[in-house]
Amino acid sequence: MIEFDHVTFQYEKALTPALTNIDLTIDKGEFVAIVGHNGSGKSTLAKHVNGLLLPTEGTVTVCGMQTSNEDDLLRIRQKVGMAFQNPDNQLVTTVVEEDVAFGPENLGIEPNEIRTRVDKALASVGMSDYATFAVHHLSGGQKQRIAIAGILALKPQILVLDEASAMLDPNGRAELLETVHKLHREGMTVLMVTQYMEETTGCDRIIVMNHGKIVLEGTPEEVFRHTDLLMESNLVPPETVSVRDALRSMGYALKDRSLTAEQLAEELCPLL
Amino acid sequence: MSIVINHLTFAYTQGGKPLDPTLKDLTFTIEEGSFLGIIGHTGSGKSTFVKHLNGLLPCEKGTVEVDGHDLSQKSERKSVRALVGMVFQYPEYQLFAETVSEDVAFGPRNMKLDEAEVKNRVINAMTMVGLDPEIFSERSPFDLSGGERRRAAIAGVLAMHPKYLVLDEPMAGLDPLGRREILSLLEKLRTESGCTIIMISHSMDDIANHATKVLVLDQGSILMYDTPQNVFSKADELQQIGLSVPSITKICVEMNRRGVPIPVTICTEDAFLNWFREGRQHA
Amino acid sequence: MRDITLGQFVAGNSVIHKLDPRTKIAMMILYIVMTFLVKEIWFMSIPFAYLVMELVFSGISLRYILNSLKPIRFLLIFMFLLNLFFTKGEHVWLDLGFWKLTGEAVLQSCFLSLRIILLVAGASMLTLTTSPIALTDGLEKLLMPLRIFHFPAHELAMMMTIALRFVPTLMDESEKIRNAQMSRGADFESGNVFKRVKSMIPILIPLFVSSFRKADELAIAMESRCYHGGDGRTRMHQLKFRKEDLAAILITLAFLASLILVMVLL
Repeated sequence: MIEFDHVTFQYEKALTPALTNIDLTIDKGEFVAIVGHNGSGKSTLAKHVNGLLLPTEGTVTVCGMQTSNEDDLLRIRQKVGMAFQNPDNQLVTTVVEEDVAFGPENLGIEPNEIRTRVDKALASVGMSDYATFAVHHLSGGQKQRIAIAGILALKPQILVLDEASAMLDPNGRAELLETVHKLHREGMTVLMVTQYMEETTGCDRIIVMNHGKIVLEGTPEEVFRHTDLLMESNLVPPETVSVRDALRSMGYALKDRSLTAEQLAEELCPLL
Repeated sequence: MSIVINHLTFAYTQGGKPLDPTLKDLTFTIEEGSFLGIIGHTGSGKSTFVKHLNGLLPCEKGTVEVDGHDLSQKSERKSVRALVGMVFQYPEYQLFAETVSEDVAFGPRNMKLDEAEVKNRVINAMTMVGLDPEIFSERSPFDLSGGERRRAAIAGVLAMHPKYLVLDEPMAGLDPLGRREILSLLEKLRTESGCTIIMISHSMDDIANHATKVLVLDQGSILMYDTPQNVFSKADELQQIGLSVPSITKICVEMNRRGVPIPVTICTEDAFLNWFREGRQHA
Repeated sequence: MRDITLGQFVAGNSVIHKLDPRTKIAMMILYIVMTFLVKEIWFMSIPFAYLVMELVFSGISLRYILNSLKPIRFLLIFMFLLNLFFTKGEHVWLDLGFWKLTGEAVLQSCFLSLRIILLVAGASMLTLTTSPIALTDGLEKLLMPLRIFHFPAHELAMMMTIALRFVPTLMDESEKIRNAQMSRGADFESGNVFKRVKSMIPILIPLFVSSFRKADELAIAMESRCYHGGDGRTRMHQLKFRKEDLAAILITLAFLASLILVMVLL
């Protein structure tokens, strides 16, 4: 569905490339998390998926279309929806439903069809009751869900979240994560860029980035086996994982899948 | 010396009419040298409360006294603003000067200190937050990285030598490394300069690891004001008002549910592992 | 600060509220033409009657209209006095030697003041009954034909839409920055004008920086949502010209016609 083939990218005026020789394939229906510290290249990678940035070397192919082909760009952006960090800076109009309609309006879709899509998208993120609200009266988490509704109205196949939870409070973050997981269950391919390792425990695959390269890749269980590598990449594993490791070194035989408090307690209690 | 809050009640007004009170009859004392963590749901009144600590919002009902300065007196506000430093959410958005050192000097200059002292304080504050004055003094604050900008903004507050430092979610939006830097800076300030830290945070793990006292606000009222151990042991009550508990507390709660009687006052990794090391006695 | 809405729109469900914004803009233009056609004070009664009729049908309280006149009260008084002093006339009511109060001057002063009052009140009727968003939509549609002369009708409307969206956000932000600088001992309240303007710099610069960043991020977000200018764009809310709109235009035209007729005949 998404294919990075030897992608290298260097910002103008930068001394070193932001991405170096990235090879990556994401399949239909996968939920992939990309983690890394600030400046590790994770957002740069995300911006390649819908052609906001074009590789200096190599190619990015999305749904069979190359992002470097300008004629396909609009079609790619319709397939790849993208949500950004600041909930305030991605909503265009004052009223919720008009903002959700913005994308389909750009595609020149017929008004009745837009109405249907907007209603469906708002229902899908659980914001139908807010259709006629003013955007600036909503909480951060609600704004972010509206942003996602605006993307859903384009009927994309891939959802890219570029640190979309970074500015939200824990409740907003939970709301957003729940929404994304629901969409994934309904068949959406999800690419989630984040710094919060706790958010990644429910993903299919985690990709760890450092210095513009992929340094670690695998299921959450596999990735959280390598806490040393995570620390080297300036990431902090969830507290549960570091407790698990400490207990292991004390001789408790805990399994890799002890990633959440509940799983850890379940593994640990029979050993006591 | 301390900050004494006595029957503080506050309501915002809209179109001349007062709305429902945001703060309801708060009475408590913040001891000098403590690390106070303030937690509460969005809209519980946390940010409104801290704006009363340096007179940004007026004390209409009740009083706030900082080291004996009564903030209901307008004339006292200026002296209190030098005592109480404020670091708001995303403080880097307040940077405005051409160079980092000019920006850091803004506060001390407003205090009418002489130029030599201002310079001294700028260098100290920048060193304190880990921005080498040699390298960063003459750089534009807008060319720094996100984490550096945040620390430059905090230096601007530290240069005023506050006795009390109030921070509203100082780690929001930073990556794990940036968060660790800020937290260790706060610990250093408290232990080395005896600065009292008052921090609003959504991260229960950070609060459990650093705070000496925790204030829980719910709809403008004090729900709890106690040690982190005692506050987080009431996990059910916190969850009822939409707050989570530290990861370690979560593990302890889950273990109790499975019949292992680990004390739920354990809320840090150290305490948790110690319980295992010391033969798993229950409370 | 939070609840300041741009313009002075009063939500409502009246016939006037429900009219197509294009109709209301056309009505206002015709109304302005009316007030300018009038050359004698007595004929002002026709646009005045029109205004009263609009007011009754819109259900807007008179208080809002009076409020909209408040900002121009000094201008009104000044204009009134100016005309009172400098209009020459035959019918002297009062002779102070250096200046004569004439009947013509009083009439002329009243006439001009009334015209300004009616103009402002009429324009307020438009903004009071039409939301800024609807107004933007209406303007875009009305200006569309000018696109053949390369007039950027869509771009203008998009700019207004974005401005409306971001005014409350920027208000919030300036309040936050103000609080932060005040906590650092900044003083915005004392000193002379020059000093006060200078003290605004620590608020204005961060606000500019933040606006540019917002503009940047918004542009990227819009591009990601397939925005590519006004070509081929549709709208979810279609403006509809209904029977009521036709009736409103016809009534307005009737007023205009009767005004012209009365002026020609008398």
